[in-house]
Amino acid sequence: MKVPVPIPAIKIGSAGHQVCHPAKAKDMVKIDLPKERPPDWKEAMLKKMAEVLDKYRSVRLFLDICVKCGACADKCQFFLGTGDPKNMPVARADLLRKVYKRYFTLGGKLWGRANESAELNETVLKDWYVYFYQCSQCRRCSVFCPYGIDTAEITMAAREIMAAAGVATKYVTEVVAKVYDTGNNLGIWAPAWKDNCAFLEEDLKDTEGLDIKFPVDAVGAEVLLIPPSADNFVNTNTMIGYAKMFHAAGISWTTSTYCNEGGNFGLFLNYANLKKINNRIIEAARQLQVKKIYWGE
Amino acid sequence: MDFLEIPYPLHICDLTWDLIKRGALKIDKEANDSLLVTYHDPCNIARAAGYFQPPRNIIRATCNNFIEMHPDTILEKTYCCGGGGGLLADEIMEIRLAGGKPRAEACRATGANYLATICAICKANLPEVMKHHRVNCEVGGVHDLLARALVLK
Amino acid sequence: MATKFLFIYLPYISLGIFILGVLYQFWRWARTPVPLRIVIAPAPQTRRGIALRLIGDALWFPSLFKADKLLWAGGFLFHVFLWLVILRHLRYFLYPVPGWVEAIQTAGLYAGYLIPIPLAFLLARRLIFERALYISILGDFFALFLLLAISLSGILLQVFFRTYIVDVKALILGLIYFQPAISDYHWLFALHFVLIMVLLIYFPFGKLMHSGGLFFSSTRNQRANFEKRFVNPWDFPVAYNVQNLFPPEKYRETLKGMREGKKE
Repeated sequence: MKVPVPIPAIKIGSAGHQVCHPAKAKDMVKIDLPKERPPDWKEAMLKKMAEVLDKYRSVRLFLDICVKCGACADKCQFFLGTGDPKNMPVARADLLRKVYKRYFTLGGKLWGRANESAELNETVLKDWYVYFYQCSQCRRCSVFCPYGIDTAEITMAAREIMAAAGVATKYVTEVVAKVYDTGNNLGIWAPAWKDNCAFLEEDLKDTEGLDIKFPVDAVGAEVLLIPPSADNFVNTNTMIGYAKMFHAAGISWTTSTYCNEGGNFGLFLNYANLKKINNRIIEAARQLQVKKIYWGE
Repeated sequence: MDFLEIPYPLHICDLTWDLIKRGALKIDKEANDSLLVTYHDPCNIARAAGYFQPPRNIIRATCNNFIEMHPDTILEKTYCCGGGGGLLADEIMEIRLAGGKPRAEACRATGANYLATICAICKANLPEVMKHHRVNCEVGGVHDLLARALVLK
Repeated sequence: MATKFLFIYLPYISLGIFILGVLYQFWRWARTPVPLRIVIAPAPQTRRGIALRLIGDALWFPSLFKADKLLWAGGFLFHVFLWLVILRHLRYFLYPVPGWVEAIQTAGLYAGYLIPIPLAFLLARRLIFERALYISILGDFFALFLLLAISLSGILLQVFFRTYIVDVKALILGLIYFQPAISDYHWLFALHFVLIMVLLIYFPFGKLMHSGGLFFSSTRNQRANFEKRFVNPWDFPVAYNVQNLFPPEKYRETLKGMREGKKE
């Protein structure tokens, strides 16, 4: 196993200061989450945790069967980059596992600390907030785990539990709220989206002398393209690539201002938002009466 | 979803590669000759979907110079760019740069000057990472390469 | 009385806890639904492929091999030796002893002599490597020390304090047929015996359940058949508030902003 960077020595707490800003109340309301952490946040989180454990076999199983072999420890890029031991996948999962053991297993209830369990308190919550938002859910660790333990499942569960008690980051909640407002993660309003597409058409005409369309909301097109919204705004060369390809192949296509984003930040919050955001793709396809849906790159 | 011909979404690279295979697109590979291209597998497109080959096929079809990074850093063993999973927030820039380090070093080892990828998050985070770790490599999409090489006249 | 407890009641109690505990854990996992497809590519597309991969996972740990060769060597040798030792011990449980159990006696004997080596390695790496030390918990050391104690007492019984085999077999067969027959045993045999009972009791509640858990792991046992829709058993309808999207006043604001040249 070749690692492109030297495996760092453990530096306890070296990434602890990298904390995301907390979510704003106005975004939380939009995405059906509690505005702020209620006084009984602990009960709310434990209730949510019980629910998650009953709904996701993966979470329960992965919390139960880890043998702490450490195969994943040097596989996480955030550990390789920072050396913070809590960024080792197994240690990250342990943050949740300790609380699970304390409240949901016999050993933890009986023996407490000896069973490596932890009370849910401010310190634990702070660790959760810091380190579960330092996991990019990339699942590289699970490739190397002999039991396929997927830290992304653990991270998603922890974020869902925190969100149920009004704890989430500004960035993620803002993006999800933007999807509900505008249809995409960057918050590009429909007129701006159309405007950008028109600009690309003009640009292609001026620079390369090509007459290529960037259709928006064209009912009855064959293909609905769901690009990342950044393609319309930042990575415009990629958008030009799609348009040229569709043009050369003679395929009619369109983007939708109702749904112009394939990326789903609901995944980083909870299942309900995940599903809502995905459902709008089908809705857009139905409205535009397309035959096929293609993801952008 | 029964109103669709194909009841699940496909990736645009499927379509492009299908067209290239059928010879429906006229491509001038030499348009990309100034580039030494390498390909970064985005985490979930690679590991969750097993979508390894179509983007590589498109790159091979549109560029003469393609180089793979070390086998332990691609395919299902690919590294994250450092900004996925809702971490693309500016306040944790340090973490994003630290997380992108293995990818930056793997890219540096190839000497490539163009890192193609098919994920918008990677395209947002990797340029910062490359700049920070002083790797002289442009980051862009696969269809960017196609746009350069496609002959339309 | 103590002898009676150790050699008659304790075996039944611990075996009962072992079986019920393992079944309880399996039941707990099996009743929890699997809402999402979380395969890790490259994954097989057929049930046959999944079965083969799970068997491979259970027998030679390919993921661990990819991750860490040294750890793989230690873990693999330990598990192979453990199986040989367990199968060798079948001769105390079966009467008459089947031919294949006879056939592996020698291999099992040497496996028994060698098993402390990988165990000692697994223990040492937890103490030496800083990453392994950081993540190790009490349960990890407990399991390793327990297995080491069992294997060392077993070796001593084999080499220095030979136990009268007929007594051992009478004890175990007596337990199996509910006609317990106890005689006088060496204290070391008692220790060996009791430690195994402790292992049986501990097994369902700690990390040792990884053995059965592997087969429940969604990332390993799901197929990569993306064409087939994966149905979430507890799916619930969600309302996407379309009114929220593009409210007219926001539209007007944006358009106004664009006219005044504020955009871009």
